[in-house]
Amino acid sequence: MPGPRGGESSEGRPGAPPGHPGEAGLYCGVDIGSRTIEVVLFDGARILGSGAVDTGWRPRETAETLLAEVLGRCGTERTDIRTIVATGYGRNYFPGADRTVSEILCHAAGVAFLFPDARSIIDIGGQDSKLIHLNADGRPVDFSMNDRCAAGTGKFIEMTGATLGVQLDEMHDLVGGHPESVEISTMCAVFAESEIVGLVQSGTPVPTILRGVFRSVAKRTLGMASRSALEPRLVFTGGVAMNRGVADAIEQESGLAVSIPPDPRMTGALGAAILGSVASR
Amino acid sequence: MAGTPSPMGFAKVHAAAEMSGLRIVMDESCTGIRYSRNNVPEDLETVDEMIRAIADRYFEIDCACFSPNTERFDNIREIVADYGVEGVLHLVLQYCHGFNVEAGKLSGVLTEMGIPSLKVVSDYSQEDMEQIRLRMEAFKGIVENTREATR
Repeated sequence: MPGPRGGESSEGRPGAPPGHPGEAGLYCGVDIGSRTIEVVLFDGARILGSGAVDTGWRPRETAETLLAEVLGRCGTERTDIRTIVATGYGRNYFPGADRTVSEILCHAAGVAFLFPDARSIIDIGGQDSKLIHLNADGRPVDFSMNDRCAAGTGKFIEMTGATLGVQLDEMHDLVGGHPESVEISTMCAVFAESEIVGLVQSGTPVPTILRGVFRSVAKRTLGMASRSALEPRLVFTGGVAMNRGVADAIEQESGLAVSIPPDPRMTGALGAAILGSVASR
Repeated sequence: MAGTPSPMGFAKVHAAAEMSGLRIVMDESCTGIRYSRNNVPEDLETVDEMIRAIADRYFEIDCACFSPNTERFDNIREIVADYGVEGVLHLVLQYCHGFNVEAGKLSGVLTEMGIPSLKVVSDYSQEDMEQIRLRMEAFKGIVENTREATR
């Protein structure tokens, strides 16, 4: 995984987390999400290695296996790790963790490392979506989160794919060069399935429906912004950030350009590792 | 803690906050200091005076069901100054919507003072305890960031 943009940090040290010099050593972040688990190995200044796998139904064992695999690829041992920080939905189910940290703080730390000028983060995962505001030092100062409703989460896109018989990785090619969209009127992802079936039967093309679903997700997420406007740079993370159609919709609805990390699923685990490397107060 | 009262010993959000390392130093809700502020004097002589004293207290109550309610913002400014408050949790229980609406304006007032705040909308069930704890942990991080930034 590529390293950070060089040279731009408030401490003047390339790649150091804003405001904190990273202590050299081996640090590990584990993000146990509802759909995928990520592991990142960090040496205080650079990412050494990373991996991702589907969570499945045994998150603890799956996380341990992934960690062992990433350690092996980097030529390091479990005993070399100074601190393991766990985050995400399943952070309390990883007994190997030295600390657990809220995913909001982890995503903020991960994004600030990759994009030192980031001021807003949209993170859309399998079962939740978050909006995080960062200050000029890259620290989170406000956030909104939806973790009670499938609308505006990856779940809605998965359900749409299932209804339309489209794989997630096919969606990008399908909507390319097809700008038309349709308004999905229902707010609820479950009822939207009926509405989508109705649209198909009335002859609406699948790419148009997909664009409508992406716009719905973008509007739902941006609707959480409440009182403070989103400031650039806007960074988009989470599994759903791998969907270029949703990224386009967010750009259109927000009027801001969207920056996406090379592997947008990793920012939580990266941030967890970074926070583990920072001297504890 | 600001906002909706927590009757019948309901302390889910208070517990989640303190379990996450936050320390509650004052509660301005009706089960907090609103209840005991501006007590009615008991040393009056005539019935007329006593009824007037009770009415005077009603005029001072800064519940969000009254509008405009600028006394509440002044009272909260005082609490922030007197108790060294570094963050405010707006608690909104779903039957008590006035505080939900007023949280918007109150957040603006607090932002001007440099105090972070977080609104938590919930009910009496236990189902969302984990979601609330996640937000409390994040809010603790934000309060600490703000404290460091203003040092």
